[in-house]
Amino acid sequence: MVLFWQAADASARTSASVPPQQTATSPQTPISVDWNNALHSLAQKISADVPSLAVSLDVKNISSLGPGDVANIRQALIAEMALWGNRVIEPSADAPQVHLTLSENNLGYLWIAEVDHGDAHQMAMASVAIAPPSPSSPATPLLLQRKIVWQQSEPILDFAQETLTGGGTLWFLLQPGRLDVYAFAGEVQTVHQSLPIDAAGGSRDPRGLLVPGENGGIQAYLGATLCTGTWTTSLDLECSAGAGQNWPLGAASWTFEPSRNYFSGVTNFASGFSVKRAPFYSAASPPPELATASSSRWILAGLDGHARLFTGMAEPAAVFSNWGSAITTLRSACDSSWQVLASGAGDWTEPDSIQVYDVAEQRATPAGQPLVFPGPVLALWPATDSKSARVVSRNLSTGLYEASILTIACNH
Amino acid sequence: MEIQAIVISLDPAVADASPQEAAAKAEVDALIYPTRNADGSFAGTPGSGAFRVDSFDPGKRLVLAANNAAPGGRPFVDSIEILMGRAAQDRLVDLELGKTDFAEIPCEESRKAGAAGVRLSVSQPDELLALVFLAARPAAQDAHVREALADSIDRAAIVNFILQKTGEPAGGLLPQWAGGTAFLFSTAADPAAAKELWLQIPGSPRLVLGYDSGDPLQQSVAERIVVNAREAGMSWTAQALNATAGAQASADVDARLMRLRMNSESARGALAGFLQAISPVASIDASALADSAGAETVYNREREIVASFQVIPLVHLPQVYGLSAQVRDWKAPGPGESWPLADVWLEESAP
Repeated sequence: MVLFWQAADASARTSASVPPQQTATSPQTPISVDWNNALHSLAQKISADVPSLAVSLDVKNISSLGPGDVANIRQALIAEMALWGNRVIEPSADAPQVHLTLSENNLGYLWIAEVDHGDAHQMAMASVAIAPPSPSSPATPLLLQRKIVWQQSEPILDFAQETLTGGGTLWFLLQPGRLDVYAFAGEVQTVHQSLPIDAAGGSRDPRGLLVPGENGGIQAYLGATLCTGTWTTSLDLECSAGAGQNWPLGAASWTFEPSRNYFSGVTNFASGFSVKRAPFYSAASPPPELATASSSRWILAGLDGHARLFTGMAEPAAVFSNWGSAITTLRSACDSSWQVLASGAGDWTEPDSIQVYDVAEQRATPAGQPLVFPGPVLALWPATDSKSARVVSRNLSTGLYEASILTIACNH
Repeated sequence: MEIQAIVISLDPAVADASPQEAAAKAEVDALIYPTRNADGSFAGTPGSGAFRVDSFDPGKRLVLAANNAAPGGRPFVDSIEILMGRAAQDRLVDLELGKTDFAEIPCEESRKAGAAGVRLSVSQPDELLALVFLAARPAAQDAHVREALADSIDRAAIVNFILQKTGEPAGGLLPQWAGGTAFLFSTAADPAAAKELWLQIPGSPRLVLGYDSGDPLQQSVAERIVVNAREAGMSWTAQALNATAGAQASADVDARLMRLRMNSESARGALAGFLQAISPVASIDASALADSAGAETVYNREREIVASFQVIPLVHLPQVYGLSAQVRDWKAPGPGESWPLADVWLEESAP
């Protein structure tokens, strides 16, 4: 299922902008409809066991619910029981006892009411789905800003947005084995196409790149396959296996290893000149106004977990440790230095981060605090104008893949 | 690029058709076959999965090579070298010396392995160790015998001393994380009640508890249960069974220990798998629950089985794996899943 959300607030926020959740998180927050339905059902079953009797109630929480939620649930159950004629009183020897345990399993919460009345012991259960957690607020002001523009349950390799000259917006989502296209007129979705891309024999960790063209045109690189799309009222896509091994990025193209998840090390320049270095996952070079005529400065994120700065020589001028596999260049208005974004050195089982580095001479100096992601950063590509970057990550809490735009704000 | 090879130390050279051998074979099959059926069998051509067999020295060494055309993409590592015939102690030493990248570690050894600096991956507790009464034996017909033994067992001692606190006492069949109802089953021992029940049984029968001769954990637990039973006045002895001979290995055995792996993350599916595995041995209702069965229905069936004392849950065990420092993206497999070795990669240790 595709979940679409475009954040309306483009101000300096560093955490996810996502739809509001129906989650009870504090004593002041009303509980969700699902929770209320479950409590209604439990109250009805309790009433069937001890009709119209005053009962004592104790609540035990062995789930991940917080104290605020537990208090809310207790109050809501008391209210529901009152509707069925059961008044809650202090424990006494004569009164039936209701023991509510807030339990949890791998599907969600499981609320279990045990009713003891004399020698009788009855039980009722209600299952409740766990709502995705609300995003946390940014703890500290950061220069690096993230705006989530798309979330979905299926993997995203790359994404692009284009504004049509005649009005309307196109969204492209490159996924393993297909390209999805959504057309919007204002906020109304008018077209959704899902166009297959045959990338047989591809990588276990497929990578892809989208290069927007003119007025809805698009090029999609998936492994060694190149697909070219033209937009009229829908997208026509033509693919050619083997034609897309050289991925265009900035002033050069990089040769991709189709059955792997990295580039071979060959960088091809428009002049026909090419350079062979060690294989790498991603690369960054200064934006045009900072580049020398030969664009000889490159940082390559190698397969060994180290990033290397090349300045035109065969040997690296510097080696940077603890950088992740995803790096790119972002141009900010803050200063004139070359700024590189780098993901963290973790793997896909843990949260990740993106750190801005100022690169000058042979040093890379962290600038500001890292922007933390609730899961691995899977792709990081520069926008055409170098003023923003596209990042695809996976939220380990929700399991959703998130497409985001990163920009740098000056913290004057 | 430099070849990246995972080295695995695998189970001891146990007899064919033993549970350990079957489990190890299934893990290898999962790496070389492209498809796994719902019943756990494999389909397709061997070698068309993530890996193909490169070389095989039976009982000693198996080398798998990455399949470039693997469904879902080529594995990240180029090869897997599997060292066979490595006993638990050997596997631990292999890990400590950096001779292997991956090995299974018995639960009862995990604390020791952690103390030795081995990097551990511990799954959710997804395996049930249970005592099952054999349907054909007189003890299975006498509810007092079964309940008396159940009351006498000190599960906490099994977890604390034998398992070194790796695992959870089990009063029900399903672990808390899967069913959400495990807390409703008592795990406490009641030796006084056991004594009282035993006194009501005429003739004080002498009973035998069987365990898998190739499983040190089962042996330790069986011996502990016998001690508990004797403390409650019962006459139980432990007897090793040939694992390959099946449930009816000895006509003298009244009950036996069984290890039951969850084959599904769902409570309904896991319970169905347990009952299917137990039903050839014990006198229980193994009929399937409806697909729509909710938590309450699953709990009621579980309660019915446990209350019959034909099956006595003992402990829920996690799967423990030892990993070298270079292994990345390892995620402990869930119930019914195989080792995700096609998805891991090895970090190079030096620039």
